[in-house]
Amino acid sequence: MRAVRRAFIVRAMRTVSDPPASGAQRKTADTVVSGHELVKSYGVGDAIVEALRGVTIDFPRGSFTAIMGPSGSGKSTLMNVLAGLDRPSDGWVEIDGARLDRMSDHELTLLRRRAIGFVFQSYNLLPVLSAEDNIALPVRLAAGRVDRAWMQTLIETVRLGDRVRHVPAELSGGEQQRVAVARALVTHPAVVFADEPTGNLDSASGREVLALLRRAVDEFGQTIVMVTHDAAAAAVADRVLFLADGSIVDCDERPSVGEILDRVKALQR
Amino acid sequence: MIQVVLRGMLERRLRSILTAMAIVFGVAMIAGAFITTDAINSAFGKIEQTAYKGVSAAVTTKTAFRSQYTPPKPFGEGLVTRIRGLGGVSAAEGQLEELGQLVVGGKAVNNTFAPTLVISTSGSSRPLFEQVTVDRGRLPTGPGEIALDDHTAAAQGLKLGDAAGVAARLGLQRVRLVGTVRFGGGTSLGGAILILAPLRDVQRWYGMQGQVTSVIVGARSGVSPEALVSQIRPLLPRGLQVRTGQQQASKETSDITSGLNSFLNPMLLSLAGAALLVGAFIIFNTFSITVAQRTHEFALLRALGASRRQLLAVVSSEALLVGSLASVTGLFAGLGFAALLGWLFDAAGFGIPRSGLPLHARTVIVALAAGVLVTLAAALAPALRATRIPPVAALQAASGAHGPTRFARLRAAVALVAGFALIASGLFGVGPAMSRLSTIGAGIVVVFIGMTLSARWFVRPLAALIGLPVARVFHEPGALARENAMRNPVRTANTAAALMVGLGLVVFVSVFAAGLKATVAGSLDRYVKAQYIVTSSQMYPLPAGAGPAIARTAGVAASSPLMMDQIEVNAHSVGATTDMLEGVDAGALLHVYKPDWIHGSSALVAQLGGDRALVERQFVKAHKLRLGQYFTVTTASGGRMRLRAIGEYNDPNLLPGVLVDTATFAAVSTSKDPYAWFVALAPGASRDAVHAALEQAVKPFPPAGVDSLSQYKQLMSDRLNQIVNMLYALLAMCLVIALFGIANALLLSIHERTREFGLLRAVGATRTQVRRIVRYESVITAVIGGVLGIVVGIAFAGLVTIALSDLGLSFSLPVSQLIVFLMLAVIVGVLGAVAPARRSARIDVLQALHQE
Repeated sequence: MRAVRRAFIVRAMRTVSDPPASGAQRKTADTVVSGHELVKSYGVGDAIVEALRGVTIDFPRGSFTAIMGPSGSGKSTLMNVLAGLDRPSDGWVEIDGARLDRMSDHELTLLRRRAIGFVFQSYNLLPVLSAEDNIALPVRLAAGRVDRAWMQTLIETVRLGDRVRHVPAELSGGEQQRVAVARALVTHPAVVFADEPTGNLDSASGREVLALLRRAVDEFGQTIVMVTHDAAAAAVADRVLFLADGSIVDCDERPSVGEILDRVKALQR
Repeated sequence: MIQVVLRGMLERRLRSILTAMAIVFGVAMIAGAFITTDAINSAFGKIEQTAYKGVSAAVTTKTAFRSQYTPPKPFGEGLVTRIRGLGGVSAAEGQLEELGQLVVGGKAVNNTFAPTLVISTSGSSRPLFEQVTVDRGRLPTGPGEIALDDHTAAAQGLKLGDAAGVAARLGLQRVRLVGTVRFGGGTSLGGAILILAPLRDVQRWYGMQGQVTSVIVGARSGVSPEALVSQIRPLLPRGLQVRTGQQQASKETSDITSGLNSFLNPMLLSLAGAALLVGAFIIFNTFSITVAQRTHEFALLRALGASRRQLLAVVSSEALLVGSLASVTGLFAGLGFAALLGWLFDAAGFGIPRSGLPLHARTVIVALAAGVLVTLAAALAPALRATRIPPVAALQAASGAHGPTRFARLRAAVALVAGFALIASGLFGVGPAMSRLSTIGAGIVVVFIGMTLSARWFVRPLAALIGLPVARVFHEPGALARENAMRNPVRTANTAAALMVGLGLVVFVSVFAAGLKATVAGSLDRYVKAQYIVTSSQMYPLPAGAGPAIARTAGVAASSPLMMDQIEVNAHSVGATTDMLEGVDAGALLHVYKPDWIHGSSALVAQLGGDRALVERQFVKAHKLRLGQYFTVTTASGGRMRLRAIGEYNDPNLLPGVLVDTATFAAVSTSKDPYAWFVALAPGASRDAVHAALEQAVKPFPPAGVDSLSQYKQLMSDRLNQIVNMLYALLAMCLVIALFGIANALLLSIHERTREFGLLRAVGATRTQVRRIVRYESVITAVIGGVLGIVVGIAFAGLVTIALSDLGLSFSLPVSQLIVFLMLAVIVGVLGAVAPARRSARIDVLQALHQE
């Protein structure tokens, strides 16, 4: 275990100091998402801010990765770039073998529809649709047929019972977030990106949502990338990446909450 | 505080502009209405001033009242000679003016609404007076010579020396063009054609040998017009009057313009009022939405110590600023609108002389005041709502929708009831027409407000219903659009309201016109036995000479002319719908017409003649007449007669008023030319052959045309359509304004829902799908407005029909047109969504998702 972790750290460190030549990347067959030398800078001239300083990272299929880091470390930017919501200033992203930088906006949209699921901090359900319809929304947008059995599985998994017919305003925050998770899973996406999914929830609701994400990985083989600054949330993941100043500075496999807290403390110093 | 206002408006530039557009259009229409009528008045002023240039005095016949049906009573030429003999007179010319028709290449020149005037000249090659300026050639001097106005000559491609024809009372006259003239300093005559011919010719063509209808007199130098007038006055027989040239010019100008202004100005202004009303709904909606969206901001201002009055000031000064800027813009747009109106009139063949685009102080003041006041009034309720926001709202999550206030239901009901009551009292009440019309107008406004207030309760189900097919056909975007249209019924209702008003008026016009057409067709079917009707297509009188030609035609069993004149009854002022005198050939009447008897029988027709008259039911009602009773009729030309009502029939459309024999008619009216002939086919005669023979017979008498009964129905409906189409064109303005309203409300909603659109894009909605969601919501909203407008429009038309049922007005639903209007609503929805849809598709996913 330690050896694997070291290897990750070494590679992450190398991306900062000594980026490998482009195209020289080797990656395992079941890598779902990979970022290559991702740079993201905002502003021009003296006012330039580098949110990402060359990040290279792979996400294996069926893995649950948490990205942690202090505010301004670039973790949200990294997620947005990986998910194709934002374009990097340099470098590129591959999802399911497809290069995002070569895609038009329309192709990106279709990719999001097909291959990516999202869970946001503030649930972001459509207020006019019932929980059930919110879950089915991505399928319907693709004018696809809703897989009844899969929908049923998801609805059972989010444990809403009859309340799936209610509109979001009638659901608690935890319930809304579970609906959002089900919606992210409904298209069998290659990867689900979760941005602070427990940020707005009390700890009990948060635990339920995390358990749901964990089940998605364990039972459905779902790949999940989650940005969080909650150590307890990160501890549910298979591995935790630590970001600081736009670079990956560490990578732990299945760390404990305590280990994570230590690491965070170290980064903030 | 004013900084807050300015900053806010600049930040929301597009919304401010769209809001302003609603007012710009309304103000432009008001300004345009005034400018147009001013231009028309000024044109007529110029024409009349020129017509009496160099004329010191004018002798004309006195009229009992103004009537467009009555030609002036002619008098003997001897008077002209006697006036010439006076000491102060340098020149005197007797004149005749008649309606005629120019015939070029065997075809009558059809100038639809504008008349063709045949005006006499002295027979001298140089004008005695300066009424016209010779453009090319000379004035007509010998028999068969004419001069034309230069516009007509150019339009018809006539050169000096070319042959042409003049259709006059006694038939087609061969003439030759010897000159072209300019009139009224080059003012547009609005399509009117002027034919100048020597007096002798005009007298001969119209069977008025030795007669004239006016004398214009020039004074010797040193003799004032007033002195001349007092010299002439002792010479005049009864029934004639003399005025100075100036007086006569202004009298004629005011006669023409007051007639025009009494219908054109109110019509244009009420359309402008409708446009402003639509604008007001949009202003109200926009400010309501923005106040709701800015709850947080206002609460913060309150928390920081802003008083309620200051908040009121913020919102009202924004309204004031928008209103002022829009009104000023609208004023100038009014110039363009007036030009457009002129073009529209011309295109509809409704040529009216116009002169320039005069912008009077009155126009500026009224247009600006109306624009600013309407904006302020519409923004008042939202502004007051802003003041009621508690400071604590700054700390709470923003809540967009407002629940209905306690009295909402009551208010809506009261407005609806009061509105319909006002309309009904205007329709069925008594009092001067103008005040009743304004009562109806106020009622319509209140009904529209009531509809908007109550719409919140039925917009949800309506949106659900209308959205159903949209959701079925267009899948998820359709379903989402439907949900969006249902989520805030008050807002959807307010947005749809603007279109409801515009389309409601369009539907009213359409249903009312359909009723009129059905009424006319019904009367023709029920009462007319004649197979043919001879008329001019524009309801001008026809040359009397056509009568014998028609009667002589083989296959014609009987024919009767229809003479018409307006009358004053028992010295009461003239009622437009009832006080008509009609002359028919009593011997032929029953062959061409089947009276619907209330009192009496067809045997009475044979008794017509002398002082005996048949009276129509509405006439009897209006004058509280009993059968056998005598009543006195007076025509505008001064004819007076006591008539006795011997029978009563019912036909308020074709033969309103009083029906007499042609001989009786001629004894009281100066009208010599019938408006129509009814012609009955002899039994066994071939329809087609007789039709062709009749057409041949009336050929020398353009503009007479032969129509079968069904062709005549079509003609009447075409004539009505011309007017209806012009109204549609003007009401289209309201629809355009409504389009801006929908665009504006949608933009505001999209702004509010940026996050949702971001999310939709994140979960894989394409830009196209997002655009569709917006477009379909717009269409659903517009169709709601369309459906409500159609309902309201039908209700209004129904009320008016009931009110006018005495006049035989029937109710008819033009279903296919209503479907077209609904499609129009869909188009308005699609167009209104163009800008909002584009904006929604441009929403940046990342920014939207992280927006607070």
